[in-house]
Amino acid sequence: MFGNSKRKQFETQFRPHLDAAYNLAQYLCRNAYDAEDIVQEAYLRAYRAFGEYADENSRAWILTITRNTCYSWMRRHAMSLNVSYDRQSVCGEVDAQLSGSDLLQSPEQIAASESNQKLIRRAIESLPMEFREVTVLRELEGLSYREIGQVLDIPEGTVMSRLARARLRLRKLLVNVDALK
Amino acid sequence: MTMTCDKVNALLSGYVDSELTAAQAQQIEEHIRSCADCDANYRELTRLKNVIEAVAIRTSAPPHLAQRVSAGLKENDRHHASWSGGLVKLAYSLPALLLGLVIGWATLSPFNAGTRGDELPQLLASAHIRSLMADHLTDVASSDSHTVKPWFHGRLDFSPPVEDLTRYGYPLLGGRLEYLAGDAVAALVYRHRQHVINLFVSPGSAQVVSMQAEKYNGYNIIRWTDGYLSYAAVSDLKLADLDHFRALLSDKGMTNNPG
Repeated sequence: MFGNSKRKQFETQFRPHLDAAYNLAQYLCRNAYDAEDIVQEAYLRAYRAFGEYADENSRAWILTITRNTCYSWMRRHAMSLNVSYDRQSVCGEVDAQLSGSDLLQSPEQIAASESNQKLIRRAIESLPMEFREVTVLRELEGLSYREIGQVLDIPEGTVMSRLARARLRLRKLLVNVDALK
Repeated sequence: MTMTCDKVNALLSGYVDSELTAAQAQQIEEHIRSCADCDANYRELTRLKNVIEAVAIRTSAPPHLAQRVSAGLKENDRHHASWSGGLVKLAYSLPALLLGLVIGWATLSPFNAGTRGDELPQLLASAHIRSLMADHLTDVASSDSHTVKPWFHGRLDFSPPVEDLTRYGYPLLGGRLEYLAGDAVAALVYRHRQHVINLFVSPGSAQVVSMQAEKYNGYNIIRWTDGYLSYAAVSDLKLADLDHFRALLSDKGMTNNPG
């Protein structure tokens, strides 16, 4: 009975963060199937450590565990952490997809275009791990610098500079997306 | 005193994210009002941020993931309970265990209905869940039955039939060795849409060809035997789909010409 109520409490508290955990895992390992396994393992780890958990920020906590699980998973499966897509090929792809397509202007129009979605997604996925994770946590999950610092275990100042460098890279990758000019 | 462009550049991301102190933010504002370069940088950054927000490229977890996570936690609790309450349980279950041994002596297949009574669905479901957790779905990962089948040679003292059912919507993912109640059995892994099916095969000499469906912790389990081997298919698939899978396998084995 005790185990059951602990589990209920855990699920109530952490189920709302399942999307965030899955999204992060998917961007980090770049594979939907692995992402599911990683999230399941992360939740199990979190559950086992749940008793010791005293922090009030459950989202940052589960994302920390998910991220760590990603890293150990990728090491275990000999997936390289820093193989980024060949930059040329991403740029080439961006070029190819843009030529002949209407040059869209407003963010709303871009949002409406599936190919642009794919491009931006691919651009983020092509970032090296350290830039990718900071980008996902900030731009997709909307975490504060303090929370990001907590997840990545780095000072807030480093969060800011890393994010700045990540954005610089993204701008270079997406330089041909007219709407970004 | 105004900021240098370098300093502004270093802080611009923080400014766009509203993460600076009020004093810092004010200095940035003053600077970009009078510096065209930094102002252009600021606009570009804002644009990038707005576009990424607008395209909403966040991926939601697939619906079955919540179930899977839930089942994993439950399974975890069950394991712990069986450790902590182990002694008490053992005291209660010892007579049943002995009885099981006696009956088990008589019929060899671990899948035979009645052999190990109520324990089997739980064992099967646990083995299924374990295979989904962490990274042990397959020992040999291949969709080619001619790769998977020979893999079991020398690992088991029987040869499980390995059918490729890809064209029926049940692609083979691979196989692994599994131990159920101490017996080495073959586990063949199939997928149907997003659902994983574990097909456990064990040698069994049941005299009657029988079939039995049951549910454990939300997983469907179908057990049957073809008179030579015993089978148990476990999945979170709907019972009807799982039964279709079973029918495909049975047809394959008997007529090689499924409908």
